[in-house]
Amino acid sequence: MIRFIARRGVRALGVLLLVAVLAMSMPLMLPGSPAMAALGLEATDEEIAAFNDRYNLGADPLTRLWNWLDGLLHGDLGTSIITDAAVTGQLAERLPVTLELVAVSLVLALVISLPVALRSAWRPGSILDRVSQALAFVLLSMPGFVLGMLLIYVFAVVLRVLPATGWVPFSEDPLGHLTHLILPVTTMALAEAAVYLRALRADADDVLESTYIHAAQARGMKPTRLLLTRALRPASLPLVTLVGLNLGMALGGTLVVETMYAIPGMGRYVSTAIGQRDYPVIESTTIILAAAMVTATLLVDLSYRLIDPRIAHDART
Amino acid sequence: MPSTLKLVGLGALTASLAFTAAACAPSDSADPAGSASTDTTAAAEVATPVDGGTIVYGLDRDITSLDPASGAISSQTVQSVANSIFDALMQYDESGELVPFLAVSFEPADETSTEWLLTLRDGVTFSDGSVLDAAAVIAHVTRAGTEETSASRATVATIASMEEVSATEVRFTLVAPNASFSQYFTRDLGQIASTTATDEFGFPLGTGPYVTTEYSAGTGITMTKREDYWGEAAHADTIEFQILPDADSRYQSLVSGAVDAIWSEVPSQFTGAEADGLATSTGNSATSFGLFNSYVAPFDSVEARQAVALAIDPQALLAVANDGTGAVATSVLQSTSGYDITDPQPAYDPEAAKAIVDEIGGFEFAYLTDGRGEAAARAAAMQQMLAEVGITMTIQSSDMATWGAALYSGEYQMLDFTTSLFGNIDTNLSMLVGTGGLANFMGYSNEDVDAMLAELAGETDHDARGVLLNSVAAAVWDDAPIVMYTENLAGVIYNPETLQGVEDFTNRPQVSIQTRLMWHAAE
Repeated sequence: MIRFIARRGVRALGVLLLVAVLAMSMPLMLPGSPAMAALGLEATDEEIAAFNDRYNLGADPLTRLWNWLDGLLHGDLGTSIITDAAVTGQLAERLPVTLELVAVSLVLALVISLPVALRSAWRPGSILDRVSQALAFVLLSMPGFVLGMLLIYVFAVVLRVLPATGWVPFSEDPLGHLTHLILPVTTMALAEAAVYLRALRADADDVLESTYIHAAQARGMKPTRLLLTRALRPASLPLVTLVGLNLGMALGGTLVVETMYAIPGMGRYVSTAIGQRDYPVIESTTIILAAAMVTATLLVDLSYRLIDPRIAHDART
Repeated sequence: MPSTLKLVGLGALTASLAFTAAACAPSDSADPAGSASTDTTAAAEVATPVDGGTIVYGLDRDITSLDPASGAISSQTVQSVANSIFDALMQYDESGELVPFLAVSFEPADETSTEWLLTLRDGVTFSDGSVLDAAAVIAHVTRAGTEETSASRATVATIASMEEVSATEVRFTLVAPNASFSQYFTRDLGQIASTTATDEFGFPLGTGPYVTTEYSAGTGITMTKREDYWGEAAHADTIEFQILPDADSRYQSLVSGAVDAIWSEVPSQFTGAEADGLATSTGNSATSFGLFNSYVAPFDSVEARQAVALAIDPQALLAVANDGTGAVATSVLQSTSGYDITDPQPAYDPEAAKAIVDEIGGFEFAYLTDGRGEAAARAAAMQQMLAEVGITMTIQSSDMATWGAALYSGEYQMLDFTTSLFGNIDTNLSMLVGTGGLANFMGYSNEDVDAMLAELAGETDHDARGVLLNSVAAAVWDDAPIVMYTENLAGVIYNPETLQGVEDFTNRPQVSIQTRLMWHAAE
């Protein structure tokens, strides 16, 4: 296991290094010079050089990466060109917001999808199975912003029971925080639940056809216990993969929800930075998001071995 | 660009993007602006202002700074924020006339309009109690000319010197005559910020009716009423600005009652507001036009530019891109300019365009848009119109940053541009079509136009200025460096049942929301 982790860790570092170099090459690849855009066509060479030095833009990608890593060790991810504020501080404000959205929506999605998928697989063709499959299909077909607008219309405009937009920090008003969290989290969770439901439903179907399941059933094991203790574990490998990938991508993938519900998280932060060519922000967030993705993938690989020890055994032999 | 304009690039870019953002306006059905003004006026006539309460206002973008010199609050889109903290020296009244506000007067001090005398009100203080005096104004203007992010660096560069005549008087001596000098002081340059005191968030203090009590760049801003405000106190105790970047959910927040008013530039929202029980207050405050790059083929040929200009039907663009709201732009002079338009742009004439194409041969070009929906709709319609006369146009849809980079680097053939620059044509025409003008991205140069612009700079008589402006326009049409499309609506949508005191912007060249005049009817 340790050797496996070490091997995957080295590979992950290699991926991160590649992404970091690419991120640091962006100012060279994208049209327009940040210094020229900020200072104008008539800026002098001295002004451009000072600007580039200030925002770590002038040197080659490897030198810039070295400067960035040096800053990272000192807790300094650079300065935003647009706001002139420290990227570290801005990330510290926005990252927890998105993490909360992602975590709560993941839990909600699993709470919805796990029981429904297992019960549907247990009774194929039942009303629950048909309705859940149809709903999952609808939710998968529906873009996130359409689902969001629908929820806003129903719960904020018609029923007026939840706020349409906005974000209230938990420290300021716990109840207000909760009410502002419901619609965005539901928007994310429903879309995720549809994916998990279909994946788990299909695999659980196969697992439930296994002879050991029939044997357990013949021994009189109750359905709920059988599903949770015998069927869920082998059926959950694809689900774990999906959850892992979702977690990795979710940090940067909350743009639609954060924009629609006016939530000051990472998605909006990255999107705004891209639109304004705020390279120090884009570079730092790109590397952080890549690290999140690589970490999630590594955890998924590790969890395979815990869920199904045969995988580790096969790897050894 | 001439050397005198060196070092103003950042200001230019900031201003341009601000103008552009402010520009992507539009609105109303048959006469939305008119109906909005009727609603507002009617409300003001029947209701008595109520003091107290909190007004919640939805903004369309993050506010990265509350410093006028940062350029972040210089666009008309966020004037509601700027006006809450900072009073402007000058403002436009309901009829569109430029009038003093923080100033008592701001007039030319000589016959050539090279010297100007600003007289300030007595008894005005910043929110820390320090007095607004001539020295504070000079310090503010100086800072606006030196901060690298300031949108007013180019304007300050036209000031040769500033002299403190008395505690309340400042004499400006300009590099060259400028009869419109005071018009520059309605936004960030005129919104006097303290250079010695800042609030708890590090932003300079103002003399305005509110002070910032909470600030979060991505979430919102809360402001509390100043009890020691020099003028008539604001009605609402608190203004809460919420950052709601998505146009649809911003509108739904208003419909649901979560906010009292929102900024909008979306035509369908203006046309649909009445059905949702909402009112609008808008102005034709942004202009969309096409900009030819005369440095590169095919638009280094005046005939090619004229052919494209004649082949585009602005009325059709108004219907397609603006949902029928706003108005067709017929001149560099807007309908709210206060001048008669005697020399409009040549009318849509596909036959004439076809004749030119037959003579010079069909050609192809790429049309660059900034990715906004209205620009894309406009481009698609133009593509069809041009195809009918034998011109092939390909559409390049990019994001705002790429669009801006292309604009500044000159790497485009024709480009879709929306700006509020035309709203202040007295101050901005030379910037747009004068040789080397900061917003003359076309590379346009005409000696006669430059001579008329120089004459215009020193002309104080309104009628004579009108003649000169139309003469410039006529010369511009001959050379066709640009083609005008539409005047777009922008402004505020609000619930008249709960919010009143929203001003009428129908005749004003810019929509500058004053939160101090609004009151919450429900309180």
